[in-house]
Amino acid sequence: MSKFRDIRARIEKLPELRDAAAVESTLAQFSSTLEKAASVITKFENTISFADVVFGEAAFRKPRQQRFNCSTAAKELRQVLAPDLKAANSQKMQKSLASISSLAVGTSDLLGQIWTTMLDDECNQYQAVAGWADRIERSDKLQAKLDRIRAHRHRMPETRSAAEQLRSDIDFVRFSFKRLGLEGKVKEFVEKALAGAAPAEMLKLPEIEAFIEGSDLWKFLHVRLGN
Amino acid sequence: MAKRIQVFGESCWTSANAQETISSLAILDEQRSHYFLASHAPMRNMRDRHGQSLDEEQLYQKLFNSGRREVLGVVSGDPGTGKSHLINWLKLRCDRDLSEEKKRNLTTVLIHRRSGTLRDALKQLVEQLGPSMHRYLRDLEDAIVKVSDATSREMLVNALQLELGPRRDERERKALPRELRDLNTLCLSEGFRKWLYRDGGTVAKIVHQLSKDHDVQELGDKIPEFTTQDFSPDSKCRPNNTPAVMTLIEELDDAVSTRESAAAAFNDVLHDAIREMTGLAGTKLRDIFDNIRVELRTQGKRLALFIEDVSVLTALNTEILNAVEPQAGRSDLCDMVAILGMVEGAYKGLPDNQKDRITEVVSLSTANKAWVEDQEEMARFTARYMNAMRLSSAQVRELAEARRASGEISISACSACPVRERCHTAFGSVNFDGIDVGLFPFTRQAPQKLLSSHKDPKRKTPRGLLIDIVGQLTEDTDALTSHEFPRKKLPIEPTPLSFFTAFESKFCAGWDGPKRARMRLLAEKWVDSCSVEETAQMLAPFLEPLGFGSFSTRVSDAPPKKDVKEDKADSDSGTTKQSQADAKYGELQKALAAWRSGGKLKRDPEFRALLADFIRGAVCWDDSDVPPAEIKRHTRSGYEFVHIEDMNSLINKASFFITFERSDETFQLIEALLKFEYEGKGSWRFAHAEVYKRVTHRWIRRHQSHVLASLSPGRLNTELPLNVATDYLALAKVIGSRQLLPDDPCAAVSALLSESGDVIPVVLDDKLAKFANDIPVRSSVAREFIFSELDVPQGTGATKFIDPMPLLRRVAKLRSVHEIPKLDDSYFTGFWLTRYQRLKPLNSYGSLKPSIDDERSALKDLLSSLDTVLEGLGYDSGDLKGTFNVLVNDIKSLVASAKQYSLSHAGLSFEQDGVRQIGDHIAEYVQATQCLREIVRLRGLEVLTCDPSPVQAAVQALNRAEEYLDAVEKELRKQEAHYARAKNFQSHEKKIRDCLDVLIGAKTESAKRSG
Repeated sequence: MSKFRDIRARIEKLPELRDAAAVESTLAQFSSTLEKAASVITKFENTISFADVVFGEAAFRKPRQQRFNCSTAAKELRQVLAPDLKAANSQKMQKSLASISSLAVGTSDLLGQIWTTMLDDECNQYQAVAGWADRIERSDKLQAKLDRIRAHRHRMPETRSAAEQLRSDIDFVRFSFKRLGLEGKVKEFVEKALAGAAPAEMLKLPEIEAFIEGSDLWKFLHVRLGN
Repeated sequence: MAKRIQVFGESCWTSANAQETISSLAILDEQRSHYFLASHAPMRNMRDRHGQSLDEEQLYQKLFNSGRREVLGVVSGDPGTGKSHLINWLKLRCDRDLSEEKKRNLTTVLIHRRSGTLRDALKQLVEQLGPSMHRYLRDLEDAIVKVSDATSREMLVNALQLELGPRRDERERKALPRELRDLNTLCLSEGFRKWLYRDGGTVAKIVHQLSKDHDVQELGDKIPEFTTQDFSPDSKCRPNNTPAVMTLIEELDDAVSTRESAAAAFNDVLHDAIREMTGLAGTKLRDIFDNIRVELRTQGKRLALFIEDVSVLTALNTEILNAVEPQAGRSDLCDMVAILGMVEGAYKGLPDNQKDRITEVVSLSTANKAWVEDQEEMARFTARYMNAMRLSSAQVRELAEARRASGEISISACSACPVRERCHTAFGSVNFDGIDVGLFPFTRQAPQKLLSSHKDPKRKTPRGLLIDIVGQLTEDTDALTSHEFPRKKLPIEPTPLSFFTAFESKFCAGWDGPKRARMRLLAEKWVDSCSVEETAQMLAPFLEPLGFGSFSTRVSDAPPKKDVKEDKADSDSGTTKQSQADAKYGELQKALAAWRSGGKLKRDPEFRALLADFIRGAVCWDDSDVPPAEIKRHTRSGYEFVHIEDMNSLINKASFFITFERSDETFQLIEALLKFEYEGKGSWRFAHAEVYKRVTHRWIRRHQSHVLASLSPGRLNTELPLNVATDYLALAKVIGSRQLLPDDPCAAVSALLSESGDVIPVVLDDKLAKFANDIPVRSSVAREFIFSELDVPQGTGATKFIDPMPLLRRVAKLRSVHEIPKLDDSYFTGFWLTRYQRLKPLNSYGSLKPSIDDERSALKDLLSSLDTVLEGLGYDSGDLKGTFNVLVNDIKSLVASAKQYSLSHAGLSFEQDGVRQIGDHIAEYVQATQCLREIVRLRGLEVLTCDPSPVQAAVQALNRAEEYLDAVEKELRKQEAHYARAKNFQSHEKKIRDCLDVLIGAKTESAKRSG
């Protein structure tokens, strides 16, 4: 056979090769996208379990719901691709793949947002009186603990021990304030007083009066006439 | 004693008489003064200082009868114009008055120039004044002794020392330059002093000129001057000098300019030093003269002093002028008339105050100028001398006495001559107050014509005529006896006669050279004629007396006609042009005549141009075996190839040249050509043209073979270059036309000379390729060469016919020629260079046999590469035509598929024309390949008869197809490789399933379950 004929025969086989290459390309896209989504979900699964240790499962119900939706979409995709992988070339499957990818990423993002909110709430309620409380206690532990808690604002615990340590710190702060009586109207009065704007009438409240007397705080109180 | 003649033409004087009569200086001693008077020619047209004309008698009266007590007269004139002669005549005239007692108590003293020394002059003065005056002259005698003293050189050096040193300030001379401040010490220091007065040195020469008798002509009037050589002492004179002089010598050695300054300083004081040396400085000479005049006054006498030439008494002429100048208020001095001869230059150089003291000044220059132009006067002048030399001494005395009395010639030697009538008729005579004097052997015209053509303009004087011409011819009396007159070579320029060749041809046939030369001189100088006939008529009377025999043609008695027709042009410009042409013609004739007489040929380009035109037109070039083109090239234009012996132009000889020797034959040829050009105005329509035509024909007859031979110098084989050209053309034709030369000789020659095969053929061997590339250019050159060599001229245009015989003789060999003969260096040098230079490149080819063998091998290789390419593409080269057809179809299909699948490779442009190119030329490829396959098996030139270019093209086309194929395959391979990645399909599938499991949570849950 002459070289010309040989080459011509090879040329004529090119369409076959081209079609096969086109499917493979789509599958590679699916493979790549799903791999990323899977990776995100796997990480989510780990993180939410440690978040549960800190704030409890109830706090993260919404992300769990979204994770479920993602799982459902993946199931549907598997049902379609299982018999014929070439179906991946369809538009519907392309949309499904995009949805899965979006849900996976959204689940992870939602978890992060909730975590940050909860941690901020936890710190902010004590922040105003933390320094005053340490002065009363003649210690700086409360402020240090609050700082350590705040450091996790954008960094969720990645191990169980880290999650438990954070839970422990939160419990310590909560307990310390409870022990000092800095709860309810007392806490409110102290916060306002520290801001120089506590109404004198609050002194008439018995729990406040008891708190002052019990903590020997009269020497710290001053009276000022406002406008 | 006078000579008696019997035969007409015999010399009627003796050589001794001629010498006696003619002298370079005026003769006035007792023994010979009669010759002076007998031959004296009265001087006219002299000018006084106011420009008024006067003759010698008027001058005499002005000098001697002016009524003045003191007269100082100066006769000025150039040498030879007759100053001495006039002064001598004045003395004789004075003597005549004395003898007739018209003048009384006059003492006359004549000082001849003789040796030109002061010593001699003073000696003459002492001798002529008589014993009574000797006492006054003692001092002068002392001066004479001083000059002749053996120690005079030392005295002059001493005088120089004084003038350069102590007297410098006295004479108010400018100070010497600093380095020459002590220049006078050179004259004091022993060593240098010796150098100054050495034999042959300037001091010695000066002393010699002042003291010894010598020929004035020989030494000249000027005192020798110091030169730089006088300040470069030799080694002997360098020692024995003072340290200061030693330093000065070193300074002189260092720079020429210093030596020049030293010489100038010595020359500046020289005249004063001479005066001091002679003891005549200051007023000494004048005092002596005054004393003499006082004494003469007491004796009641007067003094007449004649000095022939005071100029020769160099350095003392001022003293003499001072001594004789008028002194108003000195009544104790006797009356004096002093007449001094001075050369014009010396007189003009006198200070104005001195000129003012001169009473009368007479210039002879104007008189001489008029005399030289006056034919009659010169004839009379000559006749007087001829008459004197014909007479016996006694007769001369008698004549002199008679002339003293009456002033003019009264005795003629011709009176008693038996051939007088014939002689005077033939040569002419001059009448002096009724006395005829014959001019034989001259004519009335001869003296003036001879003198006016004197080579030295300064000698165009009476002395020049007497000494250089009349004396020369008359002293040679044997020439007349032996019939060789005039045979003496005279210092004169020839006078060209345009008609003389015609004259010679007609009247001098059979005469020998010397005879013709004599006749030419007579024709030029003895008569005034302007035509052949007239010349013959005028010279005929000289034939018998001068021994020529008779003319070869009878001389007509009829009045002669003018030879040259005057061109009576109406317009002025025509006349002007004609006169310009005539002037030019005259100048050329003169130049030619001077050349003939032995001088260099001036204006040679004009003569050479005439000769060149003549050679071009007159030589029968067809008689030469030299190609006409060669002849044209060498002689086509210009005149560089014409060389005339002793011509003025200095040129390098051209490769081809014709030399014209100085001979009568050349002269006559050029003369004929000049006549043709100027008299005939480019035609033979002029008088006696037939004579000149014969001259030119004769020249051609004698010299044509020599001229033609000049075009083939040496012995070169001229056939070989022709063979080179034909052999080259033969090979070029075989390669160019791809066929052997035809068997038919005529067809072969025709093919050889045809331009049709002048293309650059495709050949494979490098050397043969060089040959092939040169074919268009070299073929043309070779063909042109053959045409020029074999040209048979027809008309004046390009080559129309050639002589084919040399080609036909060679053509049989050309069918098997393998090499081109080589021409050796002799073909490319000198004369032959221009003819054969164009064939030199053909020398580089030599034998082509090895190249032809190499070509055969290259053709085999080409065929082999065709097979290889086809096999490489997967085709069988057996059935070439079928193979090519299949191949073309395969390529077409491939190209279509490649285009369809976007694999086309437009960059190679094969798709556009490659396929078509192969398809269109299949027949050529096949035919050429078959042809090559056949001829590579043959030996000889046949290998060159097939054009390998189609096979080359086939191989190239197949190579392009292969290239295209490679390019398409490369692209195909890329695509195939690209699509080959689909092999990862399953791994993607697995990964998708795994990922979906993770996303679904199945894995997590199962992991949790399993965990």
